[in-house]
Amino acid sequence: MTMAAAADDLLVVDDLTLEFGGIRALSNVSLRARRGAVTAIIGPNGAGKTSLLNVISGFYRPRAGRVLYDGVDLLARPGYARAGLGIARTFQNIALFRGMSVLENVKLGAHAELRAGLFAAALYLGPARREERALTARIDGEVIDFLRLAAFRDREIVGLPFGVQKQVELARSLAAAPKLLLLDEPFAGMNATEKQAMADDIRRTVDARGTTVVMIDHDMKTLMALTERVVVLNFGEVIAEGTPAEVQADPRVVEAYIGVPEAEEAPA
Amino acid sequence: MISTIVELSLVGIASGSIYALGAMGFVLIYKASGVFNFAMGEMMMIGAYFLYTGMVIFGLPLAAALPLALIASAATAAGIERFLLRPLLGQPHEVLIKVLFGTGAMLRGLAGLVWGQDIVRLPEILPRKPVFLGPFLIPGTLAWGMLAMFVVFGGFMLYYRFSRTGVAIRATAEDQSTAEAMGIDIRGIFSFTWIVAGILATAAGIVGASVNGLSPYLGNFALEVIAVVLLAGLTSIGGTMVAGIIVGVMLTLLGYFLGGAWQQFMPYLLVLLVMLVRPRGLYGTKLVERL
Amino acid sequence: MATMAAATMRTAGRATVLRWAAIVGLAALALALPAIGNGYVTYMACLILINVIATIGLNVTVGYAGLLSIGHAAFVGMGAYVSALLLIAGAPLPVALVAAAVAAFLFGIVFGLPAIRIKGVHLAISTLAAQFTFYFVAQRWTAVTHGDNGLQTPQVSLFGFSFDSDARLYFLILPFAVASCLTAANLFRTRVGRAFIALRERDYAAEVLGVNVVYYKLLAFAVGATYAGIAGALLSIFLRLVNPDQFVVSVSIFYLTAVLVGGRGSILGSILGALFMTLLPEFMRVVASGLIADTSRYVGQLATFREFLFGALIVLFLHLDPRGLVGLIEKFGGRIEFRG
Repeated sequence: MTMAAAADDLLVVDDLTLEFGGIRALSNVSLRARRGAVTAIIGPNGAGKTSLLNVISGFYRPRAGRVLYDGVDLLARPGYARAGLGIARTFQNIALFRGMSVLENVKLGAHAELRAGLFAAALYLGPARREERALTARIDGEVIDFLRLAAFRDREIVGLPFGVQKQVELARSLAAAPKLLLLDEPFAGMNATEKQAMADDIRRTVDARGTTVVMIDHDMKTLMALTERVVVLNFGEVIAEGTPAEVQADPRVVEAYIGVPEAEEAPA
Repeated sequence: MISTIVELSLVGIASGSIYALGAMGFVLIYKASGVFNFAMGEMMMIGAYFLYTGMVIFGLPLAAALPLALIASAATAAGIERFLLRPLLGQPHEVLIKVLFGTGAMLRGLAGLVWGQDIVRLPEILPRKPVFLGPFLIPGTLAWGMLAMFVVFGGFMLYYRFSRTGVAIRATAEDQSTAEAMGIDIRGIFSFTWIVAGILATAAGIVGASVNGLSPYLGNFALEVIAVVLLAGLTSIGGTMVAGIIVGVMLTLLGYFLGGAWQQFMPYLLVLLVMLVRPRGLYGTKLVERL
Repeated sequence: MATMAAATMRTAGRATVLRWAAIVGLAALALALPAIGNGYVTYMACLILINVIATIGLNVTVGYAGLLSIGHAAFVGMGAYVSALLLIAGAPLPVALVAAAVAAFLFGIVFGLPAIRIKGVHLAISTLAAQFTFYFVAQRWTAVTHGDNGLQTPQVSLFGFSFDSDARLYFLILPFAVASCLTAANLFRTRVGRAFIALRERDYAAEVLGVNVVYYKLLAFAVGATYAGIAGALLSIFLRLVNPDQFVVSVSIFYLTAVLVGGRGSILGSILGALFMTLLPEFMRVVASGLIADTSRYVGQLATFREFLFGALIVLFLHLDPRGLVGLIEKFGGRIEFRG
């Protein structure tokens, strides 16, 4: 695949190969995510979608390939640098932290922005308190209300309905106003109403803030209305790429999905 | 000089094989149920005390006392697994480790209350007469203990590799959910591995007590065993013998040249070194965390 | 809507008033303690407060950050020895305290280094090994530590005010205990505390959110160690004696039990746990002397029974309620505001 990296590609994945022991999770995977657009990665289970996201997140070291974010070589940076660069992600199985309230979980999303060190924190009065109050105010306005989580703001994570937890996960990822949002199966486990609400939230985020979104999911129907560009993975390789309509009509994609019990819809 | 080193090495191999047996119990439990048994040393100690009770307090012959001790240890191990561990299945490992740590303390305290704190000696199970290996002299208990350990080790390895239950254990260790899907009774396997580990621990404890005497603090030589386990890598049963021999020889040689206090301290240093340099040990597999 | 809001405000107001009343009441009690109680009470109070400081430290490392540390006594010992050595050399009290805290902090970082690469049981074992190493050095480096004989610290004074009684020492220790509670609670209102909790739960998620996991793991050890070091320094001042046997593994178990029994991840839990654990042996002694005529025969047994009891408590509380005493209280009394 030729990689003419356009200036409006926020994320460029170039020829990525990832191996676990002897198993190839990703083979020569390349993709581009345009600024302010929603790019979806689909494929049957085990196709390597989450692995791809994990490489971008810095959890796995690929055998070969590059990941460029806004021109920066992402693989050369430590994992925790992602947030500071404006990258945020959600997790398929929800990675919220028990022992903290919804608000505190969301605030953690802005960890990289805050400055309080050990002494300031221990003292609290002064810079740390100001910082915390400013952050709380900003999150209340920009994230909590934006995602209709006000009712749950001070509740413990444990015991919250699944749909709400997914919203909190999204909220946390928005806390630092990221430029790139990586969503790992945001619709998994939701009913139709919840899916629509989540899709609306994602759309609103993109429209209001110009966030670039790269998301993984199975649900073609919900994705259709949401994304401009779809990349299809199968067995760790890119097998098709294009608009949702193009991809649905692609015979290779149809073939990849047939016979896989989890496929939500057979492409039209 | 050379002959001293060789002799010491032989002693080291012998004591190493005892550690290896205890280590095998650790690894077995870890493989099958994913739990690091901090109470292993105490299980060894209790097992030895059971034998002591049978032989010294009740005056039974070895042939009667040994099976009784093994049964008692098996019951204790199964009890620990069933009542202290299994209710917490599903909780993070940190919790299980702390429970076992507490159980170890409980057993230590219990042993001290029931049998007293003083060191007692087991009757002569292993002949004390020094054994000659060529020109080299080894204390009898150690030599016969080593032989006993090799036999038990060999027997167990054969069982583990070739019997149906052994395969079942390995399957459970590999992938619990798949094993269950294939019809293996996971909970039965848990109980079984604990019972086997309890028996192995008893054997190691009895030999250890024969060599060093028996007190509630016998479990402390579990630190040497832990060093062996970590050196072997928590997941390799066969590796425990190799690691055991290495540790045994090292400790004996270092103890001779640097003195008793250093010998006591060496296992801790070894553990620290392994943790810092190569946490997975010699044979352990590098765990890839699938997210 | 407005009435609901007003009602909520009123109940919130009432709860806040109650809280303040409780705090003021406790403060009054704490300040008046040496006057109210006898020498024994004051002595025990000092010990309890020192243990509270150490337990808070361990709770930060184990309870909040979820790292397995079974070597906490080594940090207490580090603080005690550094403080003792400086006091003997004639250093002023504040210097000794600060040095003890710094030394413990650094020691905590060293201790925490394995935590970067290993977790769970491996980390626990490595902390255990480090604890034994500390004991070994304390015992053998006789030139500095005087081995088993230990060190005797002089009486301390500050600006001419000499701490020559338990009551006076109580008022030295009390502010440190209060400060420990406050600073620890403050941590968890900020990004530092949140990062610690994130470490406990899912450190990979924390990483991608921007938490430098390595840095915060080391910090968790270091912070826990610092509290312990301060406790150790105060211990050396209070007991006037420092020797290796004060810092053996069973002491680490003591603190771990305090955290687990009191409630992991909770300041209040640390206080309750330390209180419970410090008073328990005393309570047992009282009960024993009530039941048995000649207790001197059973002195050895008592220590053994204590070991059994600590182990049983750990097991029991892990089964009952991982949130320990705080959890039990909350079950009966509703939520308590001290965030964990």
